[in-house]
Amino acid sequence: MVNDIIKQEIIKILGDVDFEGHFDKILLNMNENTKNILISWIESCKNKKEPPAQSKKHKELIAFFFKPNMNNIRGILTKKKNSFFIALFLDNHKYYDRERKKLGY
Amino acid sequence: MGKLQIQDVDYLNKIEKDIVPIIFTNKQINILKKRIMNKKLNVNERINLYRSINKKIKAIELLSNQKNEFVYGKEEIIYDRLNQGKKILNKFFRNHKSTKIILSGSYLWNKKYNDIDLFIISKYKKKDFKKNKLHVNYILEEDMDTIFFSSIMKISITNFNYLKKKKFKLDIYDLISIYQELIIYLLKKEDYKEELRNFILYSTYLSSNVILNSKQINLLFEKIDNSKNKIEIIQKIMTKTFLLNDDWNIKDIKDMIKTNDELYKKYKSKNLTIYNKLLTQVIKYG
Repeated sequence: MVNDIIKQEIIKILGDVDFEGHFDKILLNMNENTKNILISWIESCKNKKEPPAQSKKHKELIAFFFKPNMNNIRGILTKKKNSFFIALFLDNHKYYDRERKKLGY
Repeated sequence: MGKLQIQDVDYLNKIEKDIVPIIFTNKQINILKKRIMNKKLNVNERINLYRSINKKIKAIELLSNQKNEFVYGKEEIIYDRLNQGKKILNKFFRNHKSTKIILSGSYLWNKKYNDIDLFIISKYKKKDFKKNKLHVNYILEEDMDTIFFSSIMKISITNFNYLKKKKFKLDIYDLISIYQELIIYLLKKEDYKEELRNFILYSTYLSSNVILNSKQINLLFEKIDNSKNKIEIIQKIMTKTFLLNDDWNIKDIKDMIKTNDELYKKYKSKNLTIYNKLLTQVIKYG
């Protein structure tokens, strides 16, 4: 239920995006402060205030990296260059590394 | 490699005439060699390995009461820590029989340390955990082929014999990925420790074919981290690594510059100008 509210909030900011990784599980264990940090980071991505990085594999892909100072959580928000946001990946560090490589980062 | 502790083909070749046919058949010794060299086994060979070869090895180990203890980079390990480390490893081994365990990290070579890093090779993904100073990390079998693993093994105490891997499938584009993230975290003043360590490990391997151990990585890490010009140093290392490599082409670099320029028009982000400054240097000197 709480996760659904946050997902809706994210969709409201970014448009229709996929939620990837152990997204629900991570969100469920996330404290309120980190949730707020996540939302404000997403807003920054949307408002072009976050630094983008280009992918070595997929030329049309750009990504933003989420790294809250606390705990083991990491995230990647992907976007098609000059177009829509694709997916928000959220997981712990190990899975993050795999996803990053998969995306060509 | 499951329960197999023998991991050195050269050694196996050396002792072959003493163990064939007394312990292993010719066929079995060849299967064993193939397994060590990570060559694909057919169904019959796999059956032979699991039903017969592994059991024989286990029996030999039991008969010889073999203490599965291997020390790598001994000259770098603090004397007291070597004995304490062996105790920690054996204590853990009692509860995780037939599991590959590695004790590594700064605990072995640095008087001041934060955690005692214990790595357990696992077939399945498991959650790492901390118990007091002990930090237990699970590593998947497939990750034993990585440069990271090779680096942690350089100064370590393990319960299995490790066959050093010398070649890794890495190219300059793998380093670029780490570089991009590292620059972003440096600019945002976020935690960049892990990225900087990986950057040091990858760039050294790509420029000089050397796999650094954790102590060497730490030394370089401190040097860069204590510098006021971290980004400048990183740029220099990147340029040097590019110039010592030939696995990139001018067209790709020009494409990257173009993409960064396009992104900069939208995002005005400093990481993109730093990245382009590097790429322009590479084209100039490359």
